[in-house]
Amino acid sequence: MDIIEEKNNDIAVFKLNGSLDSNTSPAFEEKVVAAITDGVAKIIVDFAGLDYISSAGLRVLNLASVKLKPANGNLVLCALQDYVREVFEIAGFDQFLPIVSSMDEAVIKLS
Amino acid sequence: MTVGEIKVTLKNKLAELDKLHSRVEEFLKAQGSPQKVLFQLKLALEEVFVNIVNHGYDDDKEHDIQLTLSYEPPELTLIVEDDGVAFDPVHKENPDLSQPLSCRAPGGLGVFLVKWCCDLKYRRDHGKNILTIKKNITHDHDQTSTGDK
Repeated sequence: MDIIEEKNNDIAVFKLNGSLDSNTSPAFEEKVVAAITDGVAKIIVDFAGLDYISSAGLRVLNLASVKLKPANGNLVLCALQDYVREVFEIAGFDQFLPIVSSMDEAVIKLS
Repeated sequence: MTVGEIKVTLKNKLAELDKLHSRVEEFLKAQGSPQKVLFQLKLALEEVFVNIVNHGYDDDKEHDIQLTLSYEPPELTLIVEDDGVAFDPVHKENPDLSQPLSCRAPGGLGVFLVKWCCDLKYRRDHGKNILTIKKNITHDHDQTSTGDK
């Protein structure tokens, strides 16, 4: 698992590569929570390089969503593989979280 | 006819997760499993395994978790046996998914996801949890195979 963190103006971008599982999710959680604690209110998570996620990964995105709420922050996910996206739909995340196909769309969503 | 079977023994610690994933991947790729089936079975086994590690034992001792993976076309069968506290995931209540995400308590989706992607059967036998997970490998015809044959 490889997490690249970038800043695009006031947006924090997290690019995930590999597997977001029970072993790798704590590192992602740490980075996301640190960003929100630092005052970031707009987050994009790029799934283009991600080929696996378990409930541990969903938990971190759920937590980010909870932590962004007081600041009226926004979380957008982009570039999910079909079978990864399906898990977000089954868990009812897509009703409350924008899931778009590309990074460009994600940036537009947050501007 | 069973065309492939492997047994994997894991200790009750999270560090064994990588071994679980790689053995499952190896086995399913050898059977020509579609990418999506591979993903869902890795997911199911991780959720079951992590639940056993996190909630299965009251002591600090090392325990064995036994996995049997077999393929009898078109069905894959995974059996997970552990000697932890009795836990029947089949009858676990589903989480409330109608709540906005920002108001939900994070977590608690593991068993729900396993039940969504696989057929489960549970029994308690001689102090062991025996969970049978079944998945039809030809459910989806539009999938790209991971097999290299």
